[in-house]
Amino acid sequence: MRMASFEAFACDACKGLFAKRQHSCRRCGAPTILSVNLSGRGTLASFTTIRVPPTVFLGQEPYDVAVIDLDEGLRVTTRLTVPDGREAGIGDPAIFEEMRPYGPVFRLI
Amino acid sequence: MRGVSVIGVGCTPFGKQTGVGITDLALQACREALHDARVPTSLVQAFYLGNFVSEALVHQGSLAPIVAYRLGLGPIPCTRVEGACASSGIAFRHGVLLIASGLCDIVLVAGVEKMTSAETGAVTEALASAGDAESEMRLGLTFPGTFGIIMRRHMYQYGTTREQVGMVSVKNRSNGSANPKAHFQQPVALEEVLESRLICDPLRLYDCTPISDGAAAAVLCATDLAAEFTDRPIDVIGSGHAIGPATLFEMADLTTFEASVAAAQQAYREAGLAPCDIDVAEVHDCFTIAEITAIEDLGFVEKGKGGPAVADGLTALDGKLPINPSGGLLSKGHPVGATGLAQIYEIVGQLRGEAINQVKGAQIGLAHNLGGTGAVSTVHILKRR
Repeated sequence: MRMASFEAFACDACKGLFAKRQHSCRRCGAPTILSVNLSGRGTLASFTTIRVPPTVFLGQEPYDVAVIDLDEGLRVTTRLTVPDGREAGIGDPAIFEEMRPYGPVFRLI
Repeated sequence: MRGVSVIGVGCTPFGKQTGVGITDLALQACREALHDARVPTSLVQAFYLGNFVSEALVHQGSLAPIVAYRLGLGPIPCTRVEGACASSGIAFRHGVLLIASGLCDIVLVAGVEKMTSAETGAVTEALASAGDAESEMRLGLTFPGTFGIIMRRHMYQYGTTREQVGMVSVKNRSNGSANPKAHFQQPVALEEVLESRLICDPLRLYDCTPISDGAAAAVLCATDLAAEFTDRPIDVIGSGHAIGPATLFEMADLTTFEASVAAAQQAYREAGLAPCDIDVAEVHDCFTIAEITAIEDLGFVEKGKGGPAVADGLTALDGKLPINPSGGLLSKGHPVGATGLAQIYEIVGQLRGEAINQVKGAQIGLAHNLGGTGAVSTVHILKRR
């Protein structure tokens, strides 16, 4: 299976790790935030299937959105792809697949 | 700081108000509150109006001055307050602060939302704007989706059952069936909740609030002046207002809203009270699971015990701590900008002893308002003399 690294953000001063790009560090206030590559591996903390989407996503439903606990101790909210015949469960492993215009997509493994 | 009392309240019926515009809704609630307080418009020294999505849904901004001018208020400071679904809880809070600080004696606070004239997709999209547009909402996550994720986690983490969560809807719809201002006035059976259409798994249609129009208002007065207007003022003895993360991925625990916990702690501390001192509470049940997390975050039950508390009847009308006797958002409806003050309206009614589902001997009541996906919360504790 193809494995892509997942981009996260780290404070250069306190080494605080963030899933979302930061203007400055919310932990220590330092200005320098570096891009870091994570493994893109984690487990499902929870998930849902969106059956009533906002107007801009009409036609894409149903689609899954999940919160994933990454192995590096960071949490990320992402689209989730569930392979045919599989059913997702909390604690199941997932891996980063690709970045789409609307955000990251992880796949259940 | 000076004491603050509520001397008048007003609330429109919630639901689909065909042909009634957003300013008329707000005016109706304000007139009722001023009449209830026996306060002429000339005595109002400031006005706060809670509203969330009027630009997106009815293309109307500048709401506070427009409503205030049509109400006949003088050239006084009028401010629109936006904090998503907590907009009018925050409006109430700021009215309290203005009097407590000594700057004003009488302040009018209101909240309004007009939602039913827009398409459901547009409403879903407008409400989603309270989430973080740069991360979660661009994914196509919605408010129901957020609470679907929280519900699944709560069930996993604490063994909360689907039935326990559904019982919140059954209880609140039963309470609301007596409330003539509620959007839904028919009770639902647990089976109907569990078999209703899936919206965002495991959340179903009857786990969600309806899309409603409505407005609510309150007149606040310095406690030392309240006797000039009423012989039954309701005192604001605790006020809390705090923020938390606006996203799921930044929550330390997916079943706890830090904003609610912090706002409650502030309010309890100011009132010198503990959760066990509260006789009745209106909490922010935007979804069934949100009432369960709320009663935990407010300290009424231990974290994780919210499901069994509902199932055991603790929160029922005749339970030890009646929650949402008005029917809550699930039954009344959730015109988002009006919700916080509609909770105050119910608690004031309870403490005056004139509520529809009156909790016997209620002396102390609590109102809990939550905005966004946990981004902001207000908690107010009110007491009768």
